[in-house]
Amino acid sequence: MTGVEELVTRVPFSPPEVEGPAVEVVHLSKRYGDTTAVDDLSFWIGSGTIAGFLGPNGAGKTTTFRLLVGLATPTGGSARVLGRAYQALTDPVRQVGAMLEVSGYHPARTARNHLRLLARTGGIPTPRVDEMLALVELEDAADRAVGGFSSGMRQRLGLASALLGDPQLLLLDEPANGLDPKGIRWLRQFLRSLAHDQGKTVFVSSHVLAEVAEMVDEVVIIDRGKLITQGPVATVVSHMGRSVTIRSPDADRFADLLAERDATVTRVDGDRLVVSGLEIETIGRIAAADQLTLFELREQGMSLEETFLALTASEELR
Amino acid sequence: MIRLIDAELFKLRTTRMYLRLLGAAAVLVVVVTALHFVLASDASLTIEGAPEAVTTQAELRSVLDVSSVAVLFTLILGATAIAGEDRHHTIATTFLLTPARWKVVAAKVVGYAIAGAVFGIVVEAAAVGVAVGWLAAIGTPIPFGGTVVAGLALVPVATGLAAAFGVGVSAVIPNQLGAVLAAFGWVMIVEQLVSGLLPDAAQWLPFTGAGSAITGAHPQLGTAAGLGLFLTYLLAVVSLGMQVTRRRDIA
Repeated sequence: MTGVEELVTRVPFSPPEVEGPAVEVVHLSKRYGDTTAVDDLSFWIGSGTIAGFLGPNGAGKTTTFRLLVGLATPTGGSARVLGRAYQALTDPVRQVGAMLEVSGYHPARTARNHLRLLARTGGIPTPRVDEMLALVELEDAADRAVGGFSSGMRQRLGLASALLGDPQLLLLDEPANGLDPKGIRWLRQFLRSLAHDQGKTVFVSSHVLAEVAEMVDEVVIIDRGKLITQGPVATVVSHMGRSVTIRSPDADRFADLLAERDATVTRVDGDRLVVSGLEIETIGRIAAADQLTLFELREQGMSLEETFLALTASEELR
Repeated sequence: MIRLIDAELFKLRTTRMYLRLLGAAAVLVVVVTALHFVLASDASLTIEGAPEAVTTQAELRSVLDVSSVAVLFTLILGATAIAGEDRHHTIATTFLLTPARWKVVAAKVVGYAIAGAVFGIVVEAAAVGVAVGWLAAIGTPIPFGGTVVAGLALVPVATGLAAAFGVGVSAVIPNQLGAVLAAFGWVMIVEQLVSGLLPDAAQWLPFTGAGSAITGAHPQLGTAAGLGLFLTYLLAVVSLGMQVTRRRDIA
């Protein structure tokens, strides 16, 4: 059993008891022909929390979002929001705001008309459109066709669209893509205030951990469609424990030997490895027994970034 | 449902497709109508098939019948209804706002039928404008009456129904080029081939059969029966479209 598999079974994993979960995914699977995009995935997001949905590109995050909002049909299992299937929501625009990569804009429609269209469909008062345009700082571009927007402007319009109905739950798929550093900082603060000041639930995905690490209360980490771990950030990090950094010209040989002992090994660069799941003393003895050269052998607590990289490291390095 | 229909009409108002098709159809009808009067007024034309001068209601109706070309344009307009949203990936937002997808298809059918009828009225107005203007200019009395009005009333019905039919095709084939080619190919190739090879069967087809009955040109069916036949075809294609739309994944 690898370190990662041990972790999955060790991390506390149960739906909140006080309030129904805002997001509930149970044994969810989605296959496209021979490709399995989501593989027996289960996790819960409690109401009023801000949770990060992390995984490398192609891990299955976008597919999971599409399954959550009924844009795709599961091959197996179930995906529920606010206690029911998305299709069974009574007033979806006021209950769930979704900003998905699969959502687009008509290039000839202006930003204001895009939001007006959503407002008309959802029965939302028109003044809310201008409020949202001001919130995402698109007032000056409101009457320009979206076809001429930068990716950052499109992202902000997507956020305005998701927020239009002042929904209880926000599902945001890679919202920081295309935003400049200032925009990312604004997004972090804004989403935190939505969750902590207004009691909304925010489920936000990213393949770049640094974008969400500072703002989320808990994380769901997936890779190749499977759950790697779920829990509060501190819990996930503490379960990974401490890591050992090795710098050696024999890094390849080290990686093989450590993987044989079920350690989780991440290659940081050419001669540097980060190892979790083995004591520093054990690693030292391995080096001595196999006469491997060491330039550095150092123990430290793992950051969430290192934990994320370790958890989603490629199989061949484990 | 009224809110959804309103949203569909708003979509058409805030993009260029509708106005472009309307402009193209209006220009075509104006040119053909004007050409008729130009050729009819040229006394040097003695060739067979040259247009007659317009002096009776039946002749004026015949001239104004060129407006029915708008049916092809509204059919294509309808064929872009869902396929166009797929092309621009706006269909995901549409289904997020209205998860009951059959309601989206139904709203598009009604919305495009309304937009198609308005399309027909505008194109007719262009043809009538040219005809009335020409006849007034040459001092010919305008033979206006019940026959002409009856003919004019049928065009918006036909263009509205064609747009609705196009929506159904678009729901069955959610690919813009595929839906447009299928709709256009059906009317211009399949139905024409059937008409040539199996004339008896052709009178029961949606456009050459039911469509001609609506405009009073069917050998057996009247307008009401033609309308019923076309609505049957419309119901079938829309029902199939709803089934396809309900089941498919949005990528």
